[in-house]
Amino acid sequence: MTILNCEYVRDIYPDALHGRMDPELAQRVREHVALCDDCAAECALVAALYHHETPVPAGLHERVIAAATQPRRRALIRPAHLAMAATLAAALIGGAILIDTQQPVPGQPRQPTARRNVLHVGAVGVDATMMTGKTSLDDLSVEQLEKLLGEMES
Amino acid sequence: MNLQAAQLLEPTQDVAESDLLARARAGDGAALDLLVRRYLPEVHAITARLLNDRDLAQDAAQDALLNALNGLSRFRGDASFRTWLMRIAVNAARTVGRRKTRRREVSLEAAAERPADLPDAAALAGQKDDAARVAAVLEKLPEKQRMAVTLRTQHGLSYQEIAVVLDCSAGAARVNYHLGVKRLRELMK
Repeated sequence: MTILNCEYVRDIYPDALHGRMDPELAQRVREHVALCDDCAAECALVAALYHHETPVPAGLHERVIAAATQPRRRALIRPAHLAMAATLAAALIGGAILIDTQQPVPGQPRQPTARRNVLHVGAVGVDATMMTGKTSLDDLSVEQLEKLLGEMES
Repeated sequence: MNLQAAQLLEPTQDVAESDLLARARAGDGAALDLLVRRYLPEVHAITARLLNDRDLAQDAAQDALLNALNGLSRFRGDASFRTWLMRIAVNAARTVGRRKTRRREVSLEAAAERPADLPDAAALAGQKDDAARVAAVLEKLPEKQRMAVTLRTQHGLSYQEIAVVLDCSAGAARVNYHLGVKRLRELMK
């Protein structure tokens, strides 16, 4: 029977620990380790690592399941990403913001100024009352940005 | 045929797991739960080993499992599901680690402190638990050696499997493992 050398034993010792070794070979490895002090020292260190466990924090399993079962879009999209994407999309598709107010027609009375204004951001019309007092897309809520993004993508 | 050699020749995916993956792909909640229960300990152990920060390790473990569950359709079975998932865990930990560096959340004062996960030298000397002591010293190794040693000893991966997880050659995985163990022995003296 071939004698196992130290290099080979140290190379395959983790396989013996994890049960991924032919039983006869595993026995020969154990016999070598019992007779070789240097290999015994190294294998003891490897065995110590093998026995070390990192406990799973309490509640992590539940958090993963909760996140995995959420609707995928909400789980992945964050408000900062939405604001960034909406701002970039507005700039790329023409960025010109037109405030469409009814122009006075000659001979006809001017319409009350309280009527709704429509803001055109590219091809998307957004009720300007949503943006009353808002100076940039960053001021839009998450829901408003999601709606805007959805309209742009459709 | 040598058992170890046989295991290297074919994908290590048993029938029960393929059925579990199919059910998970179809949205079976019980299958998802079982997958998480089966692999969360290993995924968390890997992210904890890479990040050495309890909160970040949890974030990365969650990200890794979510990425895997959402991307089940991309798993082709070339390697075992376990190996594929570990690769995702390593990538998730690195992403979380880079995100932390960019945000510079750690103040200089906090950075000067030893992380809570690592005992100081005096505590190490007095520690009777050999496993915990060796694991603590393992943190001092460079990442490639640390991960090769961890994946080989604690997770039982072959060098070919380590190569898949760490995106390196099997030869490099073997070298890093043995260098890591040698360095550990020196640090433990």
